[in-house]
Amino acid sequence: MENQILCPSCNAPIEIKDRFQEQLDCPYCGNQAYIGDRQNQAASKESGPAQRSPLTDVYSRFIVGQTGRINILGNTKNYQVTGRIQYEYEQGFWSEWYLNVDGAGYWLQEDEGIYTLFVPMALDNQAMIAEIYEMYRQSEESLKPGKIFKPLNSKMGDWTLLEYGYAKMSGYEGNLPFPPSEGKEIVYFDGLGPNKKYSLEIEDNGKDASLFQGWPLKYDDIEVESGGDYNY
Amino acid sequence: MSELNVKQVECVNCGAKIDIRTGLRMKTFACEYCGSVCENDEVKYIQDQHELKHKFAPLSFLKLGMKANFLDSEYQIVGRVRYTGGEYESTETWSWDDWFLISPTGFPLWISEDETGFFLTKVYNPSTFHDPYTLSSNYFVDDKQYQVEDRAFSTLEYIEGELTWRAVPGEVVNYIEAKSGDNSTFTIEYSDSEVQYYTAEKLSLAQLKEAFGKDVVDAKMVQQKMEKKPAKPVPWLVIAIIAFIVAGISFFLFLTLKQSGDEVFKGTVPERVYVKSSLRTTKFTITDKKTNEKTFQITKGSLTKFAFQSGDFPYRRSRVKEVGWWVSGDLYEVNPKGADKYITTVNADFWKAHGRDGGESWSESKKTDFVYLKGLKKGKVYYFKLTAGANKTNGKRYNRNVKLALTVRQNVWYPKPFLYLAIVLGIIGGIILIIFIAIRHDDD
Repeated sequence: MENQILCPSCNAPIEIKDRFQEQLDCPYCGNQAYIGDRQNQAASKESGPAQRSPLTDVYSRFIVGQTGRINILGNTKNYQVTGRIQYEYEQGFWSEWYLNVDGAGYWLQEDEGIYTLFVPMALDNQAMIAEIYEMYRQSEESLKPGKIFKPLNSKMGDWTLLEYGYAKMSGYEGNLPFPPSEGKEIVYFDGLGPNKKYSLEIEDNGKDASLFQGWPLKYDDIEVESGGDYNY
Repeated sequence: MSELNVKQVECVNCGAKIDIRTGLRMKTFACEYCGSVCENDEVKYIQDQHELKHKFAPLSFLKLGMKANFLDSEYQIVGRVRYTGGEYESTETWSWDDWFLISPTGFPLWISEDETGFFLTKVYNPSTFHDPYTLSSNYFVDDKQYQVEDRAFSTLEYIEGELTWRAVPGEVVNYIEAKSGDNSTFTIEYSDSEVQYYTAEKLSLAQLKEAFGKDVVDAKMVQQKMEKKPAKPVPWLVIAIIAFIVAGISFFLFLTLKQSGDEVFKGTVPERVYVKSSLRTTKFTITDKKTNEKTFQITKGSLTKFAFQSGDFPYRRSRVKEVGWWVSGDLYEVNPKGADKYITTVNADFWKAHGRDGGESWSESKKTDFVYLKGLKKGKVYYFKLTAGANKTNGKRYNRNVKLALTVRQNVWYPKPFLYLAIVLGIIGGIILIIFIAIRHDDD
């Protein structure tokens, strides 16, 4: 089948669920493989026994494979959970569930009862990233919630810092749009613009960064149906 | 998953087996046996269970492990935190418990319990920044207005059970609590790296019964709690301001009442009175043009005021530093049918002094004295027979001519209590203000 790929470790046929999928998580042997470059066949990141990072049992409404309906800016759409990344930070854990929403990829952040739906944004202001990271590194007194930052993207306006800190990727599962690197350390800056949330993640080299734009969701904005590949 | 899994961990400090319900999400747990507050495999603090378990015992029927239904899901109480709150400008404190509940889907809730009742609290997911650092009296959240009631801090006193966040006794959290007209609450907790928002709704007795089950809730206790009014901290700054305002009003009343009443007599001694300090006195009266004693009639009121005013008392400043003199008046009631009736004697005294202090010369004097009399009869006519004299000064005698005047006002109010009240309140307000500034200075 066109949407199947063979696990490079156990050779089991694995269904590719969406076109964004760049990482494979074999449900049979637990092997993880990067499949972003399919021309070169699925090259196993590590062959042999299961390499999936241990996910901490933190209780959640979601499981990988689960389907449901989600209210995105007033439009209710179907979704399927395809994967998850879990971060550990000073105050606990948060999960980022990767959703396939009508063929489009979204990140649903679940953090101590707060749900936010994020999509990636391009970063246009690299100098600003270095400046923000330096402020964090130097523990500058002015870096505290309420600080207003300049836009990092031509489509966003000024944004206000709500929270920042250090976090470490503590686990992942399922099918994700990029190959996650277990143990990756980031500094995160969560902020608010007019009716939008922003999350800036800067890696520990102070240069590589990802920017996300999101919308706060209420508990009732997400309807969960049964199903799923795993049940923790 | 329909309920929380129970796992056992060993206390790092005493080795006791502890039931854990939040799994690896748990960030903090307190050992009920030895009081250790642990984070992962590290003891962060040891609570003196012998003393604190009793001191910070639950306030009501709630206890760890209880299950309840909220928001169409089952929750279980897994932890409790006792806080003591205080306002920055006040030494008053108050306490409450935050019971931590979690559902099998990981959604957290809190039941905040204080002496006024129970509040269901959940995290609020903001779409705009509500600034806790800038002073604001109102917050608008989801088109609802919340009025700030407390801008305060809370100190974590005691932990029981498990929490999914880092917590340790002694830590301090800044918070702002704002209330809306429907009694719901918007709370902002803030630190140097994080701002968290919460909303809370008051739980009625019926809601508690529905959530926890009828048999569990101690209805009588809950009812009593809800009928209690919240013990608000004493706002010292406000009290000081009120004291100053009342002191000002009292002083204004004092000045106003000094001028109260109707003047019924005003007379001046036609000639200067020769007052002598030789122990001999000068007797005189205030007369009309026909040299009869000038009289006055009381027509209303119960209090009469006599104001004695003296002219200057000339003396040689080079020889004495101060002089004093006095006037004594025997008050008589006119009896048209016979001898006039002596009523009472009133006394007034005056003085004058001067000197040099630090190269600066100064001079003070008292040339007016007031006497109040109660009980003069309405319709009766009165007059004074006056006597004046001077005090000995430095063993010297000074005999001088002094001009004297007397004014009588009827139906007056005695103003001095308002003066005393103004002074006392001014002192109290000043003391409170000093204490307040000292507390603020210590906080800084």
